[in-house]
Amino acid sequence: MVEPFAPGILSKEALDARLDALLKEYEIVAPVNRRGQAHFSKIIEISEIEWGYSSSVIPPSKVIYQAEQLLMRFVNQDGSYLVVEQHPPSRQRILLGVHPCDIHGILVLERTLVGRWQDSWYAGERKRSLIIGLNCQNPGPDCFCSSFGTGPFYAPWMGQGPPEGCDLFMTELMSGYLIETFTEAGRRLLEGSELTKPTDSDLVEKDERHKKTLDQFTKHLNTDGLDALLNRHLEHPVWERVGEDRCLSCTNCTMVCPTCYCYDIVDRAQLDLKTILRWRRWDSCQDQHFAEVHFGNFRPSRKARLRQFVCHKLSYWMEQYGCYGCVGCGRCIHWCPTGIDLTEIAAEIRREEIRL
Amino acid sequence: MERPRIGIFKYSCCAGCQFQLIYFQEHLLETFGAVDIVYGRMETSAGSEEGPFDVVLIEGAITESKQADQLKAVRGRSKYLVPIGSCAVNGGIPAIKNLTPELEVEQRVYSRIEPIHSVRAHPADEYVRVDAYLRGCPVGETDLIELVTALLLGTRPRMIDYCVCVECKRRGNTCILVAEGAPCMGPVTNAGCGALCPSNHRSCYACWGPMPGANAPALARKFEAMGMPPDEIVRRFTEFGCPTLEFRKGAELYE
Ligand code: SF4
Ligand code: SF4
Ligand code: SF4
Ligand code: SF4
Ligand code: SF4
Repeated sequence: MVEPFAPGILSKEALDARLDALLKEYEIVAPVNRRGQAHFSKIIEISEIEWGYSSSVIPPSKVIYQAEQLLMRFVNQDGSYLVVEQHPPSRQRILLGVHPCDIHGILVLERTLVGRWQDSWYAGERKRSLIIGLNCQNPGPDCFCSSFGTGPFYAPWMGQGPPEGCDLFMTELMSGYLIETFTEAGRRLLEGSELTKPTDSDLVEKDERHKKTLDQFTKHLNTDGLDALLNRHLEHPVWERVGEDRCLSCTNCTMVCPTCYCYDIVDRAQLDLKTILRWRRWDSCQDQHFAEVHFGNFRPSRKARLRQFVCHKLSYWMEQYGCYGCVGCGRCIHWCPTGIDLTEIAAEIRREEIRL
Repeated sequence: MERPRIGIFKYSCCAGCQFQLIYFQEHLLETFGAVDIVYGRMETSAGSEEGPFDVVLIEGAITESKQADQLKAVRGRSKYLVPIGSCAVNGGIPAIKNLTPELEVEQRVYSRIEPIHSVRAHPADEYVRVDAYLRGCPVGETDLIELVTALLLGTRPRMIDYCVCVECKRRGNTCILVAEGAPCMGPVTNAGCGALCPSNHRSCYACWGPMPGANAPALARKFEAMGMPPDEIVRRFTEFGCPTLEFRKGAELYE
């Protein structure tokens, strides 16, 4: 990791011109408004980018970690099967406008996918992706990244070490964009652009915008000793009540969660019976069959499944990876059809413990 | 399995599932060349329903007592029996009539009801043991190919057993239930269609029937909170799969 390069200011026009030039060389995936919702999509024109978006439906980490990936083919040759791994050729691309919570989402997800074990499919997709971050100045009603310190403005991973997880980083200011460069690859993206030195008032403005954004948060989660707290209350009535009354086992929460890594492997034979395709697809602990093993299911109830999701994010993850599995992006709350809110569940448990 | 002997039996339905099979038969000869369709009134003109069969596919809901008798007899002559399509799997559209007394239904449809011996519409598994379900309206391609290839390869088929939301999210759609308050049945409906309707900005109306174990009451209450009138909530849960336990639980809250 390269030490951060000196920050600079790029005017809006100069940035657009630079991105226009990059678009000829790279695939650019950026937030685009489709029927009122931001989606990270491949763009054709710079004007498609929705700079002031709040949160995208599918997180950028799951643009990298694809919903469905063809892993390999088994090809029958004279009675025996030949295994052919599938790694599609890929072009360098830029993920543009990634908010800090989602950069942390990528870093958390990577502790699993390219941590102790290397998932070569994920690694391939990650390697071809340059990431340009963007400080968030428009948090939505379900966002609570400020409670984890994963946003709304970027700070290095868990407050320590060099900046990670992106190549360039931008903050929108009156005078244009304040650009911080974290990697050599990021620096090359800017080659040929005239950056000016930020003035003191630019830096003051950045701080003010940060404070103003923090004030906009309406949702908060007390993370103090949260992992141990939940672990003490695995039989709290909230699991049964919310699970049975409201949880649809629909998996929406986990599918949109930037750090959920669970997948399923499925083999599909082609009709000629000569080729079998092995697919990997997002899976979810909310699905009823997820924990099915020979002779049973160790999470047959909605209570157990909902508890698994919430406690994995806010408790068990700590034991597994030394960090929370939640970055406070609010997607699971926003996209739950019945509005199940893990911050409310955690708060209910905390309130009761205080009362006891 | 070497050239499995297949029988196709049709009961009360639109026959769309058999058209789907015929479509497959024409386009995928290499597969259906590997099976013998020994009975199926729409597929072969000859053929006998006496069997024995390796696999019997059941299309349509059971709505007459003599259909139930034949179904039971066929079960005895077949190694595997698989209902195909919503009507045979969960009662499908024909089961809409289950909410009205049978006599009224008969009188509304026929001018002379003396020769009519209709009964409540039921899926095949209310009468006989079944070995798998081929869901869909009409029957889904992925499950169908899975069943056929599993049979020929001698493996256990892996049918799609989760809800439409899973496919919807894998496609990266915006959820129209959350974003627009559309009355989408995706959370309680078995997947397999690839989230066809939500991907085209339409609510799922549950044509594949319930996902087994679906929490219909939770979705019904959500619809109520959205301002949906009770009779419309009942309609959402009785249009397809009216006799199923899952959808009954959603409908009965508002009947
Ligand atoms: S658990 Fe919810 S709020 Fe936390 S990162 Fe996942 S989707 Fe975002
Ligand atoms: S177990 Fe559930 S909450 Fe944990 S990563 Fe998997 S899907 Fe997400
Ligand atoms: S999105 Fe909500 S209803 Fe669906 S599984 Fe998750 S918590 Fe349950
Ligand atoms: S649009 Fe329908 S199917 Fe898609 S996620 Fe929403 S509720 Fe589920
Ligand atoms: S989305 Fe629902 S209604 Fe539409 S085809 Fe699929 S199961 Fe049927």
